Amino acid sequence: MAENTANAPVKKKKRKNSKLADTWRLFKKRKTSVLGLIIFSIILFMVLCAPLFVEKSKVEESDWEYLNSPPVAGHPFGTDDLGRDLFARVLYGGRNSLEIGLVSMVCALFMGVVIGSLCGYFGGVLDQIVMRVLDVLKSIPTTVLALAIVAALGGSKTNLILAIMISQTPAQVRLVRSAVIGIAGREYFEAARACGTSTPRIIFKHIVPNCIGTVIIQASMAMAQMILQAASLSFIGLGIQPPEPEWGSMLSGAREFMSSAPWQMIFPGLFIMLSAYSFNLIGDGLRDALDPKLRS
Amino acid sequence: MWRYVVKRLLLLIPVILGAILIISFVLSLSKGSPAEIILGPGFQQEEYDEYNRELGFSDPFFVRYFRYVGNLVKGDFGTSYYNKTSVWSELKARIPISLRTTFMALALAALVGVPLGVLTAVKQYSMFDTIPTAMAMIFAATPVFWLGMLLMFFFAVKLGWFSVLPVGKFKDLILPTLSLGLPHAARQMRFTRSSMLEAIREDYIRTARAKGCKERTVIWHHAVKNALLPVITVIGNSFGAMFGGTVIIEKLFVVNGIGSLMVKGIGNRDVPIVTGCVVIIALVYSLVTMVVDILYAYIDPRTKARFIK
Repeated sequence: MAENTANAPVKKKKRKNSKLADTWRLFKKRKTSVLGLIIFSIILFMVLCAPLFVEKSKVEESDWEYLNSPPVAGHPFGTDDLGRDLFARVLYGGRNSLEIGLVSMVCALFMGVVIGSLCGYFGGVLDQIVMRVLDVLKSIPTTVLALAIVAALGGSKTNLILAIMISQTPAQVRLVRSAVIGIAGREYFEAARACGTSTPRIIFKHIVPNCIGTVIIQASMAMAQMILQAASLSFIGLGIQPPEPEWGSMLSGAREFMSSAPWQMIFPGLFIMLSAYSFNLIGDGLRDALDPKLRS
Repeated sequence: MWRYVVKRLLLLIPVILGAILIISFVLSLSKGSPAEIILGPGFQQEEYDEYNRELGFSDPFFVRYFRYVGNLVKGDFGTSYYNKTSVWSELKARIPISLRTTFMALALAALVGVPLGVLTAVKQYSMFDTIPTAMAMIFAATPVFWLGMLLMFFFAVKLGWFSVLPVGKFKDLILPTLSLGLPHAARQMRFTRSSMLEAIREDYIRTARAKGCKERTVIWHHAVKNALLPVITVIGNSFGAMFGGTVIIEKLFVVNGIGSLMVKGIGNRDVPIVTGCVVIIALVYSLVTMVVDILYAYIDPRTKARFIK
């Protein structure tokens, strides 16, 4: 007992040293978030280390003895109408789906942070112009805007990323802008200015560390949205072009065989859902860990 | 109040003009001129140029933009490249169909999501909280089209309760409504829950309890009233997401709405049709957002006091 009480303050001191360890400790408390992290790690491992499970050639290779076959040994997820192995297509297709989600998320977030913080910090004419443009963009639903962009540029991975990035940027700009404006109203910000701190120092020492949490939480939630959006656009036939596999376009192909081969639509959909699900769970955990308002 | 309504109506004009500008610009990036799309291959370049001039396509972008806006004011949405019909006649028949699906899905999302959100917040950490919350997490992550496919498989293919190829009866709207509405019900619920949890921790709730109000009065008269204010805005925003979502759902369920018209227009590279669809979607969404904002101002006494003077 005495030992315990003696140890406790020392431990506490150690924790204080690292913000990252602190975040991890708070994140870990929420079991569902850890579950999200595990689910995503498994999916990422399966997709990135796909060659460990199945050869890449299987993606486009037809097995004529197994057309529209249900899951059997050798084809754990079954085959499609051309006898292609769905296990291989789901794994290698995941590379496309996750890459689109990840790259467009990073780009949209980058745009959001740059434009949003400039607008929030400097305000004035620039802010007015950007806000009016965002008001206009807000009137077009993101799916419709993304659809129009891919339709104009043509369906390919790069254009899909571009379309999703552009359609999601306004939301990120708004979020970062309001976070920065919130910080600019605080006392420590005024104190820093009163002390004559230079603008870059204020931005990097006071504003960035204080809104980084908001941005990270938003990143993980946005990732889920973008995976879903990429899948929807591919489902309509405007994303990755066949025979290249992608989860959304695989579902589009599976629709025709819904009554005769329902297993074709299970696995791609399950992978989309689980990826989005895991990012939402991770986002919730990060919110608990990073948002000081929720700490008691 | 009326001044606020008129002001919001006037603000719609620049927003719609901007939306048309953006969408015209985006679509002007597409490859191929109208002549190539209408006439098809096998013509001389001069013939294409001649035809483009007739259509007014060779004019600069802004000239075409202002001509489009000018025609739009007169109610002329242009002519389809593909089957030469007026775009408005195509749109007219389809707007009510898409609106009906969207409003039904919105009603479903609000009627399921909001009460569940209140329930989970009031019974925090109990079984009534954890189970709906876990379900909501899963539904919020489900792609609408996959949910639609699963519903179609179970209820239309396996159980035969609905026809696989809908004919436009009311019953045929149930599956599209469910697949569009359920993921949004989940989002609605999550938002209501956090808004409600915030409200429950406010000082006025403690005051109400301290003065001896019944628990039911505390929840329904003090907490819910305040917690639902931000929820109204979120419901308005999800209208836009759902209206956009009809694009995907209508393709899946073969519904003849604006969404399927837009996808068809994209397939045929029919720029006037696509522009018309986006303009209508943007207009309807802006109108709904406006109504929601006015409603909010009307309900919230704090906002009302600001505008009523």
